[in-house]
Amino acid sequence: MRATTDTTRTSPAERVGRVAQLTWMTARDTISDTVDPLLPATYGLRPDALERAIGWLRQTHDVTGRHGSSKGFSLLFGWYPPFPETTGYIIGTLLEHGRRTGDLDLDARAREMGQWELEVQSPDGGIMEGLLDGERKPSEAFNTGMVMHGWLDLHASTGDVSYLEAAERAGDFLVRVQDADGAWRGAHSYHGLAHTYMSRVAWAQLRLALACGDDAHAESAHRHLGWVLSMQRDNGWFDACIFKTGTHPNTHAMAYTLRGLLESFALTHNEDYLAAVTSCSEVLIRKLEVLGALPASFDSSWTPRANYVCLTGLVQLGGVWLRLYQTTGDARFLNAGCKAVDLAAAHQHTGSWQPARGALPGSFPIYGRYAPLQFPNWATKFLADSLMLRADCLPST
Amino acid sequence: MRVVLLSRYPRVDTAAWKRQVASELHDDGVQLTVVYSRSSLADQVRAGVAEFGPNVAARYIKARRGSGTANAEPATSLAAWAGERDIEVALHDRLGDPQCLAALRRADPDLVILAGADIIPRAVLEIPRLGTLNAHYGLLPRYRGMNVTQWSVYHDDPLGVSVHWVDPGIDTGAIVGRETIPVAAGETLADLRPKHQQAAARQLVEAGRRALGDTVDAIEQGPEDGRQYYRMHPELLGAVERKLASGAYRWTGASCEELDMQLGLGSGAASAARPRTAG
Repeated sequence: MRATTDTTRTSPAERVGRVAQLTWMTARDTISDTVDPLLPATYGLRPDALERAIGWLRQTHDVTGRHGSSKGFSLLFGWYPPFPETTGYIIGTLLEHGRRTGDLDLDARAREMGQWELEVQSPDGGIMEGLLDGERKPSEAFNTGMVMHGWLDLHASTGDVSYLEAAERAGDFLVRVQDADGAWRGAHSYHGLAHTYMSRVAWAQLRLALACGDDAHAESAHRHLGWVLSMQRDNGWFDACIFKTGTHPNTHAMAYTLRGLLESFALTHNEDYLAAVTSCSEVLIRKLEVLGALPASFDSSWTPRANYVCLTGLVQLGGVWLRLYQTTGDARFLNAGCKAVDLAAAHQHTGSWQPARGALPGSFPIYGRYAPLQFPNWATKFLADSLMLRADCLPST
Repeated sequence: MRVVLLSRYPRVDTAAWKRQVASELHDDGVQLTVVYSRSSLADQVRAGVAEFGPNVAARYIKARRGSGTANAEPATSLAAWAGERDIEVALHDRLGDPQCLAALRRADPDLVILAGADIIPRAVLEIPRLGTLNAHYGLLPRYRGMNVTQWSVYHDDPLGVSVHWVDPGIDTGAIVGRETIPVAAGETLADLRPKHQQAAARQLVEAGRRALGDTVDAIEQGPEDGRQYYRMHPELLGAVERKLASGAYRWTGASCEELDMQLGLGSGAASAARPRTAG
């Protein structure tokens, strides 16, 4: 994800509230960042953590007039406009929680989001980059894949073929704009670069291939995943796991990459995909255990390159490791997954201030460089996903 | 023969098993030196707070009192025990400090025995003539790292202690001796800790004697023979405690030798493996 400056309009009273909260949260996190390393790590969850997260995701839908999910809430700018990319994969979160709880409101919201994505879909079949703020932008491969996940979830849930047809158009777009080596780069890729985190797009292509029974999308997925594997070094590190040049890979992009590979393994049983996830995860878990926290970014020798935590990446990695436990039965991944989820969830906003109630900030401290002073909708989406996985893996909770 | 015992946090270093190791080797006529790292008060307070949080003061008082009751004899630290016997005790901040390395070289040890020390820098490993021995509270090679007693219970595998040569990896050095720990029904992790400590003392003394007598035998372990574990999440720990309390923990698996055969390891080590007898 990347920051944008597009915002919705807010009242003066709301601005005063934001300034007060910004001051409080900044001071709180500064103290916590200083004191926490001196104390033993504490784990555990609030019993209402998941419900709060889902409640906040509902709010991101409400603030747009139920036209997609807002990109999130900024302590500086207020609510952002709806974001097609992340709305796409939030659909699956709402459907899954609705399935578990019988909450029909979540099903309705998921369908509304899916319908909105149909309206947003470009004539070329892709999904535009950035936010829906009036200006039509070029289609982007990653965003397209993320919305495909939502449509495929809706098709599986409702049987409505319009979602599957939209996913097929999107998948065809991805095949058309894919390079011969399997990467997506150029006009339809963020900053023109090839990214390993597009493994999540390959995962969507595999899902589509299974739903449609066609080979082209599966071939596209395997070609991309082969390229992703070629980017991995012997020490588990992935080259090209960045959003833009001149930056160090962050845990958010790493988690994207790993999840795409892991789910692709689950669908294909290609052991190379699983081995790639395991080798990288073992390094990250060791870093988490030895350092007591997981810095937001590393360099290729796995030296930390940030003095803040990307909470989004941390909670995503927790989910990856819980899925890895479900896949392999190796309880070390259960252990690490629970720890990562708990460490991230401890930063969920538990106060009564409505705009942030139940949301997870992008970073800790909240002014960390990943989505600074923001509650991105995808951070809370991955929090909710990982909390559900954690409950599956530790049924006693 | 000269042996260095490496430990840390001298103010709270009261575990009886360390004195047992020191005492038995001392009685054998071995020339002992005790070297401490993390010996400053600030280091000990910092480590205590990091481990126990606000309860550190109560833990400290308990450690100094021994049993924790008001009338109990104050617990004797290894440092105090050594001081009473004119055994040299050296206090340092970090094992890798130049002064610490110099002190270790001056001691010119045949053998170093770890008695609850920090991770050992490579420069320290190169000092003793024979090597460095460590007692690990789990059965190597399968269980490396932390909380391996808990992880063994979690997996219904046998509990035990392994003594191994220390190499730059984590619990990856050649195995010198092992001993399984019998578990009785209803025992808790707290009950099992002293059993592990006593087994560690026995195995370290035995391995130390054999090493000094040049009769030691060892099983090499490969990286793929085991897994590294980390501190257990509280909810998993709770499940382990419940498993022990309910008697659901069943070590129905193989003996150490059978485990070794599964892993393709040799059986040359002086392993003291015994089948579980209770529980």
